[in-house]
Amino acid sequence: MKHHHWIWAAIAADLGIFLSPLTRTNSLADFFVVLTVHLVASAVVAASIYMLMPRRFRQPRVPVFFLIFGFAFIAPVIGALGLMLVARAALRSEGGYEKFAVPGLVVLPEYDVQSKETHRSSQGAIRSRLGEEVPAHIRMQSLLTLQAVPNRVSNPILEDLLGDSTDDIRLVAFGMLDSEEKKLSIHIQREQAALADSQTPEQKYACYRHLAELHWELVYASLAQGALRRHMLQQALAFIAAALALNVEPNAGIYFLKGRVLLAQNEPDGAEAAIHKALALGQSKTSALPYLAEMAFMRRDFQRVRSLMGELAQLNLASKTRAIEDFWALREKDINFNDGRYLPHI
Amino acid sequence: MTAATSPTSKPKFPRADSVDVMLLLEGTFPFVTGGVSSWVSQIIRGFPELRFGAVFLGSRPQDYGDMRYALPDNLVHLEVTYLFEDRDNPPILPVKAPTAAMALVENMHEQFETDMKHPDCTRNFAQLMDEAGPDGQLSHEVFLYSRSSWEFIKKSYRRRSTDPSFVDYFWTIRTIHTPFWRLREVALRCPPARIYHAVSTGYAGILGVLLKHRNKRPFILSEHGIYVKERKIDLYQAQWLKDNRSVFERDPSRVSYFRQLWIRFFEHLGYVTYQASNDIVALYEANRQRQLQDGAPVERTSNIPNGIDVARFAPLRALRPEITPPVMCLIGRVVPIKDIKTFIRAMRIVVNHLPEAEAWIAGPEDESPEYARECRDMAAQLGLSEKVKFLGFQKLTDLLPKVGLVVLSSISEALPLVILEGYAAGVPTLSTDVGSCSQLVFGLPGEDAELGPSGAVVRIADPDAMAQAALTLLGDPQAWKAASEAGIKRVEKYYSQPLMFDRYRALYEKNFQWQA
Repeated sequence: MKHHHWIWAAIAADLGIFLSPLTRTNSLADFFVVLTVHLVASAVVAASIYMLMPRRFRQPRVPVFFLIFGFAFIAPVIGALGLMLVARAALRSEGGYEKFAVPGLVVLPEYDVQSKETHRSSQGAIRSRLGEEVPAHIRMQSLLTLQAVPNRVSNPILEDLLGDSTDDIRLVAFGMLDSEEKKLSIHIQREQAALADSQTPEQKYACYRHLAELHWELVYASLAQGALRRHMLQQALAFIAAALALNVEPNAGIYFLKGRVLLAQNEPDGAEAAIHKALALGQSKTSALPYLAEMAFMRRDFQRVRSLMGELAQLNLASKTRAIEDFWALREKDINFNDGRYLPHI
Repeated sequence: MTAATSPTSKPKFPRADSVDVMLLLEGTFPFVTGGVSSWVSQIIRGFPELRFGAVFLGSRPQDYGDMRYALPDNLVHLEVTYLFEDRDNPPILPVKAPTAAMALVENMHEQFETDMKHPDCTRNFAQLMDEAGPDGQLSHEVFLYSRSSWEFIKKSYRRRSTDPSFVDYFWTIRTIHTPFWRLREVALRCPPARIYHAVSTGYAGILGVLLKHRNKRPFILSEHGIYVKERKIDLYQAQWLKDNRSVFERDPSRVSYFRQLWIRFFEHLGYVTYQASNDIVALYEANRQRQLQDGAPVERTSNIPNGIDVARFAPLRALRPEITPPVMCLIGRVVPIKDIKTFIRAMRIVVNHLPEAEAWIAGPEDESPEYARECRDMAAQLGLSEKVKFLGFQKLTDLLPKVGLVVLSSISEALPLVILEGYAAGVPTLSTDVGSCSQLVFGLPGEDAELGPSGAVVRIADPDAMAQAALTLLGDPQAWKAASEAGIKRVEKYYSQPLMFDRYRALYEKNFQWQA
């Protein structure tokens, strides 16, 4: 029997007993019968109403029960009916609340505090506001918004816009890319001048290293494509070689850079050797292991990818790398690519 | 520099009491070389029977050197004015602005902001501009020193500015308005003309609006590029414009207020110029569409493409060597808009495949010496010091027989004369897809397109594509020959000088008849 059935039964019993001839006699025994039935009926009503109440209203248990019981006892039948109405009203509003609550269960963490690149997920939004079907002024606005986005993200988008059919968009995109490239070129000129003036091997080493980094930056920021990209990578390698040829004790950074340049040139073997050297010189594993894993992946050595990923798991990882690591560690049997953590990098 | 010592009034320029056509030129002939300047020179020489005058509007005297063109004999009057040269303001004296005139000023600004398409907008503007002088109600002193002017600036700042700095707002408003008084001075000095002919909107266009209003003579506008568009692109990237919004107010998707202010200013000038023009000429259809979009009345617009003196270049075809030289030649000023850097980058790739190839850059380097230096540095950085040659200004008739391709790597062009000149000398073109270049290479649909491509077109800033196209054309003698022949036919049939002169003659004749 459901709770409200119990209530109706109790109300019926209560009504029955009060309408019965027992209430009109002067017998003490009859009085106790009526009192007992009313006490039991009130207790049943109170218990049932208590069970009907939303959970958060049931505490503290004893006082709440006796409060309801009190209403039911003091006002026979009417008290019980009133309590039932109140309980229903409470339930209805509670029911609405619960319906709203369901979609509120969000799987995406609101703040991804471990990841540095919080901007990436907005790329799709920017690209969609730059489509040719979007009104011109919104496109221009979105294009200008790209100035507030890191270069690594904005430059490939700008590169695409160089082929745009609208003059304004094309030219502003060009101007933005050009000024980025110009900044790096100015640094390159400055370093080359510094190199010409440098006296000690240490100074020369620093210049070569900066030059290599600046050339690498041109590639990394997508400012050089195709054959030109290859040329820039070669230049970067030449500067690294020149730096290493000096009689200066190298540090981990330059080997790490060499590894990344070689990897960008699609030379995983050389890249791997350089990264190992960087690790030996103190490069942090967190930054180096993903590259080693990538090289193993390029060689289709999946066993090695898994073992490197296993090593990575020991380290404190950014959540985006964590998702890749989970995949290789077979930690998640059913990869749910709708999960926020697996958002592909655009 | 004061007015008395400014080159504005130097007497070395020709003077006349009246002219047939007064050309209104901003930053071009005779002090700056380039396509528009060549066109101006060509038009003046093409109508020896007409007496021409010209007003040159520049920014500051120090931005220009000597004249770059010999003045044709039929250019009988030349007026030179610098709109932003340092001049002393009028002496500070108490001045009162006429209430009625200030009400008109307020009304006109309101109209520009809320109801620019109002039929009286252009007339109101011209009327007010004509008051901008010592003899008018809105003298420069009124603008600079009157209380009403100050109050109006304050009120506008409160109502419109989203930038918090009033100081910057105040000086921006002063700077933006200063040229109006200088333009009116020029308008007063100009000898009477039967036609006013501007080659851009902007300040030259506004001068045309004022001259038409004062003298009741027709005003023609011939646009090569689209002035408003070019200004806008400059302004979107200009570093000198301040943005004083705090971190709470800044929204990266919103253009800063002063940038917007300058952009709107040029948009309004453009609109008013289009509205006041009797005829609006574009070089090709896409530009005409853009003019319509910016407010040009459709019935007054037309296209007149550039034309060249084919006969001058035709004999060069016989001077070409048997085997096409692997020389890619960029003919143009060494300035950022020509994107010479992409040409140099492309050359790096071309030389990897075709070591004997050379890149020539034929054009003056003095307009943007810094950019020229960057280009030279880039050539050195890419190991191309031997392969990329900066030739400076060259005579085209000497140059064209020695080159294999005329290359344009520009990010913006209209209808480049060098492509046509190359065609006339039998040299195909490799160009970026800007302005009418695609039309010049592939032809307009119909008979023109059936002539076949006279070169290749690639995306802007794409060295890879440019190099591939160059290698294809230079590496395939048959394709090269077909492109060369198509170019010759195309220029002879559609872009010859007589065609252009005939159309302008008709336009001038129609406007000589015009009565206000």
